[in-house]
Order: sequence, then C-alpha cells, then structure tokens
Amino acid sequence: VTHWLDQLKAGDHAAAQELWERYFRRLVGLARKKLQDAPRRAADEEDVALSAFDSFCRGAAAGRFPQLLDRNNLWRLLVTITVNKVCNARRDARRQKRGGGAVRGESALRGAADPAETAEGLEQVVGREPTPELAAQLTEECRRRFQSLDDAELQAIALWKMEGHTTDEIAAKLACAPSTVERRLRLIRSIWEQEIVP
Amino acid sequence: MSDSSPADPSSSQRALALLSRVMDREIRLGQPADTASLPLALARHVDQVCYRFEAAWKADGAPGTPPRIEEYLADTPEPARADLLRELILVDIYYRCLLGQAVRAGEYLARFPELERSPP
Repeated sequence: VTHWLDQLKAGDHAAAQELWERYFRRLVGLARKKLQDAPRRAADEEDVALSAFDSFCRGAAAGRFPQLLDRNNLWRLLVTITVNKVCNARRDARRQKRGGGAVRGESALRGAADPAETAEGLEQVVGREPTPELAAQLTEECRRRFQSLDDAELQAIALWKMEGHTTDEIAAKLACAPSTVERRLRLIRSIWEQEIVP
Repeated sequence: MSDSSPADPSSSQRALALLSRVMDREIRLGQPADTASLPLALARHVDQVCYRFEAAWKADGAPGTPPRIEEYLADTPEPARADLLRELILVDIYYRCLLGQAVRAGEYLARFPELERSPP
C-alpha cells in the first residue's frame, strides 16, 4: 500500500495531499465520535480544543483541508506528535516484553514535524487505517497542546489556523500585521514541538 | 514601495530587491531564517519585543513619532538579533504602508548595515 509519505518523498504533492486528506478525514471522524460519546467536562481550555476539532470537522466536510506542505500546518504537527507517542509507547512495550535492554537510538521518532524525519515512526502507524485509539490520543493531544499555550491570543491564533483561516484573515480579526500572525504561528509550533521529546 | 534616492536608480533597484528578500524571509543574516529554529526562550523574546513594537505603532503610529526599530533592537544580541530585525522591519513596513507613508528600502539599508552583509 502506497501512502502519502511515499508520495511526498517522491515529490508527488497532489497525490500526497489527497492521501493525507483521506487519512485525516477518517482520523478526525473517529476523534469526533469519541468526543461525542465521552462525558463533557466543563473546563474552558478543553472547550477551545473541542471547538477547534468541531470547526475543523465542519470544514473537512465542506472540502477544506489543511495543506500538507504548509509549514505551519498545526494539524499535521498534532498528528505527528500523537503518532510519535503511539510509536514510542509500542516500542517501549516491545522492549519490556523482550526483557529490557533499552537502546535509545531512534531519534527520528522523537524528531520534529518534518515528515522525512519522522517517516520511520509514522510509517508504522500511518500506513494502516486510523484506529479509535489513535483518534482518542489525538483528541487528548489537542487538549494538552492548547493548555500549553499560556496566552489567549496564541490560543485564538491556533484555533483560527486549525479552523482553516488564512494568515490575512487572522490578521484582520486581530487588527495586526500578517507577519505578526506568521511569527506567532511559528512560536506556537515551537512550543508544541518542544514537548515532543518525552 | 519606493526608494528615496532616484539619482541612483541601480542603487535603488538593488535596495528594493534586497528589501523584498527580507520580506520573503530569504535573508538569513548569517542565522537560520526560521524563528522556530531559535531556542524557545529566544523565540518568545523576539515575539514579545515585536509585540511591543506593534503596540507602539498602533498607539502612536501616525502622524507623530513612530516607534524606532533601533530602540527595540538595542538589548538583543545574536543569535536572536537577526530574526528580531527582520520581524521588526516587516511590522514597520506594514504600518508605514497602512498609514500611507513612504517605505524607503535605502533607508533601512543605511540604518542597518548588516542587511548588506547578509549572504545572497
């Protein structure tokens, strides 16, 4: 089965985008179902994350998807973080099963959002259909990452970005320079990536 | 966008080309172009300084005394300085255009010689 990472590495961006959308649609569909089934807690920061999910799912239904090659694609980063965690947990479980001897050499799994860097780990998970467990983890990561943004404006920018708004649209909402939105998106990415390493 | 030194069109064109590269984030100023590559504490610092600079533009931008990039750049050494300078220039250009003020590429180059020293 070829998937979007192979396509991306081969330079076929259109095909990679298509596969990414298909995978992503299933993943957020599962995540949303999980959210609807779960009892709602009242925390505000959780609502922000859930709102991002909800809006995104509506956008996805309308055919709006985050671009795979957008460096500030927070959804891709979120999926990468989540998949990394799943990969690490599976690897640790395998090692424990084998009786320890942990050799911490798989730095690619702990890398940043670059698909090439995380390809090895992602292929183990993304090559398959998204599972409800992965979707649940994605939901949890979404909530945790929003909590890690200690500034209401950063949260708002992340939310609008994940809802599919463009830089210029977000700048207009905040009455600020577009470069400010870009800069703060990079800051959000830095904050989120910093927590990738367990 | 226009340069203020029409007497030397080649210099003016060169300055504009350089400025457009700054805006396109192609200029690295000897440092990585991406704030994401700065340590998080420095990226936060760059963001906060730019935030104050933009707030000053919003509060008192026109037509009196606009904030000066130099004052906001003063306390920031490398490696964050190059990123901060680029971000401050971008904000500066945005508000000058918004207020209908001339944006002079040559002026930035004269004020910040490190722009000239950056790799092509």
